[in-house]
Amino acid sequence: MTAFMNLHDFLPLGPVPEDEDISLSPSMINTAQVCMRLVGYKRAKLSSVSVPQNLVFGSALHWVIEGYLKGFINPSPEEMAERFGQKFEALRVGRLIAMAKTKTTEIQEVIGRKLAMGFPSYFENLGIRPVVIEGNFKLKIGPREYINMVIDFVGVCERPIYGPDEELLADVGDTVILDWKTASMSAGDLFVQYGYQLTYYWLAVTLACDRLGIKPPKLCGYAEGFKPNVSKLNSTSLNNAVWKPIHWAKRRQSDLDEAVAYALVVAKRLRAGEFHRAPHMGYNSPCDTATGKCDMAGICLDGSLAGYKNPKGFNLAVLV
Amino acid sequence: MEVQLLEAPEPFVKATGQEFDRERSAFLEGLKEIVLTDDDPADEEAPF
Repeated sequence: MTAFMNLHDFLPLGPVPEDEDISLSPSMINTAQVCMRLVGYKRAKLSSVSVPQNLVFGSALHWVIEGYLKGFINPSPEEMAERFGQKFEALRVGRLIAMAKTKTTEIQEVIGRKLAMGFPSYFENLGIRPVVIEGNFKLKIGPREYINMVIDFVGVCERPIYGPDEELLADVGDTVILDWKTASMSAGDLFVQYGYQLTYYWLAVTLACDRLGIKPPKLCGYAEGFKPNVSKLNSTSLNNAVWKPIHWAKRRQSDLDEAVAYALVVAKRLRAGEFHRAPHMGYNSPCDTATGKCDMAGICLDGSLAGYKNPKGFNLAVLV
Repeated sequence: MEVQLLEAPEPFVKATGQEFDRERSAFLEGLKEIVLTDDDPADEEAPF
């Protein structure tokens, strides 16, 4: 039997009391830029029943990279690949895995092994000494509003970094921030240059640099491991699973101010229990209004449930 | 209000001797739990 229900009847989408803390993450704020309704789903932990295979993949790869950077895992290609395979398997055992749309488990494992194998030489070529590896930071941005984040990597240049036109981007001793990303699509110039995730990292490292004994950040960027879209294990395209050159970016004080202001807006909407679309959305925003999967479909622009009836209900299987 | 830093990690210093061996064992044996959460997605392809 299929169960139908109105999501609003059971999701914890009410207001947050004034005396309760609100903790945000860069990911949640990123989601809020797309749609507050998605933030609502996230807070309701609708996705906790199954674990996306891509998340398992990314977690295993992060673990291998952390182990290598801390000297716990031998940098030989064989050891890196083997450790990835073991962790990828261990994280999958006993979990309900939501399969990736385009890749089988076997393909994911081959790609992960290749990226793990290639990471040590890629990292050595960067010439950056680690200062923070998977470090927890917490910022207080309002009376009861916080941003928690885990920064993959903060380091100090041991060699200069030059741009595509041979211009000096960072000199020896300068601080850089990196985030490991793996995807079949590049993060994109706009996201690298202006995305809030690296902006919050930049702010946190700026505030922590004295404590860490480093200079304020000079550059930030995504170290991207490319996951080719292949369907067969013998595809030559698997050789494209490599780490890409880093596209470096900077942040300005106005970027930091804007990012904090936006985080406070998200916190205000959470506190008010406003999980409708925000006014900055375009008509073709990538939300689920058009597909009908969102329970607010069609009424999200005013955020009012007055008179709202969901004629069809929703299939729980569709949602989880 | 001014943004305040409430938490930051200590700078990474590679341990030596027995301390390193202990840390390495703990790491490889998975004593440090990996929390699978998309709060900070390791993979941007990961669906919501």
